[in-house]
Amino acid sequence: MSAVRRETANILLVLVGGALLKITMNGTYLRYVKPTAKPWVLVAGVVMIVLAVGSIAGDIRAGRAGRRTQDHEQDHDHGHQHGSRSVLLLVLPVLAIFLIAPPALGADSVTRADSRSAVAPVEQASFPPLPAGRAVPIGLSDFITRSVWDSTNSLTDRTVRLTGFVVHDNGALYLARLVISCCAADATPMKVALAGGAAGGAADNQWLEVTGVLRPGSATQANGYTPTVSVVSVTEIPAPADPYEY
Amino acid sequence: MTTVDELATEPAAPRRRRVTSLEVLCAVLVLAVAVQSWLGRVLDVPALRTGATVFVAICVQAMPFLVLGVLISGAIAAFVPARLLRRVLPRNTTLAVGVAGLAGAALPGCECASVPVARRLMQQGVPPAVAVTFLLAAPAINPVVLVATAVAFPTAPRMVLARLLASLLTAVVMGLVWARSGRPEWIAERALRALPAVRGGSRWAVFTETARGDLADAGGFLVIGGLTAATLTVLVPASWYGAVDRNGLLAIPVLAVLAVVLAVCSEADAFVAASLSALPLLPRLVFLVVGPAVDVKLIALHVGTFGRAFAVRFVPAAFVIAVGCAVLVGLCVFGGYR
Repeated sequence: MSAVRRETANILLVLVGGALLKITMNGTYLRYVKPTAKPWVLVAGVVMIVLAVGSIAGDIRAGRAGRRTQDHEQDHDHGHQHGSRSVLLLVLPVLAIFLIAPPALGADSVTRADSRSAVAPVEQASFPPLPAGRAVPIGLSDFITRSVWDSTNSLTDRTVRLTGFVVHDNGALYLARLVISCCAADATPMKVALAGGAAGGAADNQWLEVTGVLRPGSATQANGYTPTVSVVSVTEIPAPADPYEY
Repeated sequence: MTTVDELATEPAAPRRRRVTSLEVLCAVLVLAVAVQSWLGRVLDVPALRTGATVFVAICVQAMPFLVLGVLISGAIAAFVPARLLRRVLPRNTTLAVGVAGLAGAALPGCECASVPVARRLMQQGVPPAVAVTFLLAAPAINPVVLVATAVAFPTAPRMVLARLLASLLTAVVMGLVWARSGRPEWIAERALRALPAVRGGSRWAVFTETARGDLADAGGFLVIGGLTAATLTVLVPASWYGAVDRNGLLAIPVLAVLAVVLAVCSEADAFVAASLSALPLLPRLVFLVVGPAVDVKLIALHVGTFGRAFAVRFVPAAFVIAVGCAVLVGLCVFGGYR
């Protein structure tokens, strides 16, 4: 087994810890995990840096004092033995975060997931009434769940305001959003079909604020519970800081 | 036996390799910065972008749990003497396996945290069968995971009970099988090597050094697991989901395999299972029981921590036992295939 120098492993741990701190500080961690993970990611980054820097400092002290007994030397050899080459792979997340900073999941994940639907049947089929007012803001998952399961028809004839990104799939136009429960690896897409042509010009992944009205009965088992919205107005907006619903 | 040879030749090796790994790292970093914009263009393919995001997400999400695991592992090495563990655990292996299964409920993390802890337990003299039971039980039956399952399945509270029973059964059966036919030589010597005896006043040093070493060890394998899971997430055709909708019993093997390849964290897998709402409860239970026991991320961690000989035997056995226990418990708790 090829050994990796202790110092190399320590530097990599500092870099990974630094990468975790960077994404929590600048808010891009929201592309990868849910907001409540923030303190954990932060603490993990700090612990990695403290462990690695402490080890580097200890090695330097031991080296300077020049009193590395045979006993210590043995300990370090154990470290070498343990340190298989795999630790070098830690450079991949470091490079990915610092150089590429992968974007939040978008249209590609939605078309890839195809027929997967996150709308779980709800037992009590009555929902709290929507707040009064014109163009009520509502989350895509809430909107879709209501359109499928709500026996009180709280969406009927109500103009709602939906936020999501554009997905073109099989010639149809959708407004979509991904729901995550822990991290982006468990993302499940939510989408509504847009009817009315007002959003036709937007490219994939363009974020929109859409006001519109549900077409009653448009979400069926046959279309994977995808409701259709008759679009009233469309506004292009910048991608939000927290791109997912939770 | 080869390990002894390696040990013998080891002292000479570090001098020669001293510069190499640091140089490699520096070269990689400089090169990456130099080709950054080119890299950005190459990766500007939707599938690659999705894969990169999932990869980073798995790493970011799993690191805190890995850190928790190595801190506990370090604490066990430094502050829990082997003889205390021996005194606490029943001498009878069967009893000890049961205790370890229930003890799994006390580690509120996911599967990444339990691997370093199980390894440290083995090293402190806990029989491998008992440590293996803990390894399987901890990520599956702790309160955080069970609450998440209850939240994800509001209309089927029996799912929580079924998951608890099936995962506990999996862990205990695997532990008993390992106690009967497991061999010590299947576990890599490096996983079991005892740390140098704690000298007075240096417990803190043992704690930090063990935690750091475990982190460096497991971190790289977590990356392998994350890469594999991200690749498979992009490659597994969506038509799989459609196929299982139409073929009743096929759903069980397909979801068992999906649990392995998707490598969703045990704290989130209930939500993924809930999203497969067209399927009966039983195959989704299989998904929830197999995932925390065996997945690509864990296989990488197992190979790295316990060695290939361990993983080659443990992974298939745990997979079969997990599927079997899930089906059995599911049939009882749900009252049939539903």
